[in-house]
Amino acid sequence: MPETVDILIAKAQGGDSAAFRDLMDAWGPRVLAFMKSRLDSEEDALDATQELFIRVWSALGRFRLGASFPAWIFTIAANLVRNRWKSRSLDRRKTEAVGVELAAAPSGDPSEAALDELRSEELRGAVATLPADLRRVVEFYYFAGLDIRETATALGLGEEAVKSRLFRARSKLRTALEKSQPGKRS
Amino acid sequence: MYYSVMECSGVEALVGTWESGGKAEAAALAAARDHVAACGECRARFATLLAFVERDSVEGAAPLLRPLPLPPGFSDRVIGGIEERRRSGALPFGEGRRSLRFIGIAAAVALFLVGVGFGARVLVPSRGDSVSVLFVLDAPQAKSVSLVGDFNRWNPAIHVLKRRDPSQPWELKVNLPRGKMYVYDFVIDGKHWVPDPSVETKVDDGFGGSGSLLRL
Repeated sequence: MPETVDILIAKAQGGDSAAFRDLMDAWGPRVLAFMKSRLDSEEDALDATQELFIRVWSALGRFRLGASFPAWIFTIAANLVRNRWKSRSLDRRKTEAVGVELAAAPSGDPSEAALDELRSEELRGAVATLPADLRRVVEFYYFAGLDIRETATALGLGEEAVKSRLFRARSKLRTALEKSQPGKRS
Repeated sequence: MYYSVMECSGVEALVGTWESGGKAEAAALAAARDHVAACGECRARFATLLAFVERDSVEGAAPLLRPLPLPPGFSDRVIGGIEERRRSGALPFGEGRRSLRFIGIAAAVALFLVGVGFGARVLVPSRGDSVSVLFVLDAPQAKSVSLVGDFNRWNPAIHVLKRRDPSQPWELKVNLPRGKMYVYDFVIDGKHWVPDPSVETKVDDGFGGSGSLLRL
C-alpha cells in the first residue's frame, strides 16, 4: 500500500528521513515546475525548491496532520518567490513576468516541443495581463494543481472568493489568449 | 449528445460555456480536440484555452504546469543543507522534530493510560533493537479482534488479540523495531476497522479511515 501523505508527514515529523525523501519525490516535481514558472532561471528554480524543502523540514513540527499539505507547501513556495524578487529589487516589469510550461504528454517530436514552447509564451503573456489577485488564484489552481479548497487555504480566502476570482480570470484569459490571434476576439 | 464531428462554432461554444463557469462533457472535449488538431485557425485560437477547459471539466485532470523531474541527488542536497544549517546553528537542532515530540507525548500519554484505560503499552522500553508492546482493547461484544498496521502490511490475519475470558479486554504482545513511528488500527469481527480509542493523534490510514500513531 502506498503510504498516504499524512503517514509520510507523521513519520518525517518523527525524524524519518526516508519518509521526508518520499515527500520530496512526491511533491518536488510540482514545486520545481511552479518555481520555474515564477523565477527567471532553472538554476534559481532549483535553488528555491531546495530552500523550500529545508524550510518545510524546519517547520514540519508546526504542520497539523489532516490539513492540506499541498496548500501549505505552495504557500511557502509563493512566499519564497516573493522574497526572492524583493531581495533582488527587480523592476516591476520583470516581477510581473510569469513563465509557464504547458502540461502535455512528454514527446520526442521536435515539432510538438516547439508547439509547447509557443503555447508557453502565449500563456506567459496572457497570465501577465491578469491583476495580481486573479493571477495568484490562477497560479495555484490551474498551474500548481491545487483544488478550490486548497487554493482558498493557501491564499487565506473563502472558497466562494476563489470561485469568483476564477470566474473573472477565465474571461480575461480568454480575451487575452484570443486577442493574440489577429482578427479574433477583441 | 454525440459529437463525432465538431465544427468551429462548436469549439467556440464549448469555450464560451467554460468561460461562463460551465464544464465540458468528455465526448465534447474529445471532439473539440480532434477539430483543433485538424483546423489551423481553431488551433491558434483555442488550443491553449482547451487546456483550461480540461482542467475545469475532467476530474483529476493534470495541472497545466508540467511537473519537472528533480535532478539526481536533489534530496541528498536538501538533507545536506539541513545538516549544514543545524551545525552552523542557523537551524536549531531538533527544530523539525518539535511535532515529533508533540506526537510522542500524545502517544506516550496513551501508553500510560493502560492502568486506567486501554491502548498500546510498552512492556520493555529500553533494551535491544526492538520494543515489546502490549496492545489492549476493551471490546466485550466483539467475537474477534486483530491488530493491523504498517508493520504487518495491514493484514488482519497476522496479529490476533486474545482475552482470558469475556469479562477481560483483548490483548496481544508484539515486538516492534525501535526508533520508528507506526500507524495502526484494530479490526473487530474481521470487518470493523477502528483506531485505538485511547490515542488522540489520528492520521489517515490510507483506507478511508483513521489510524493511531505509535512512536517507539
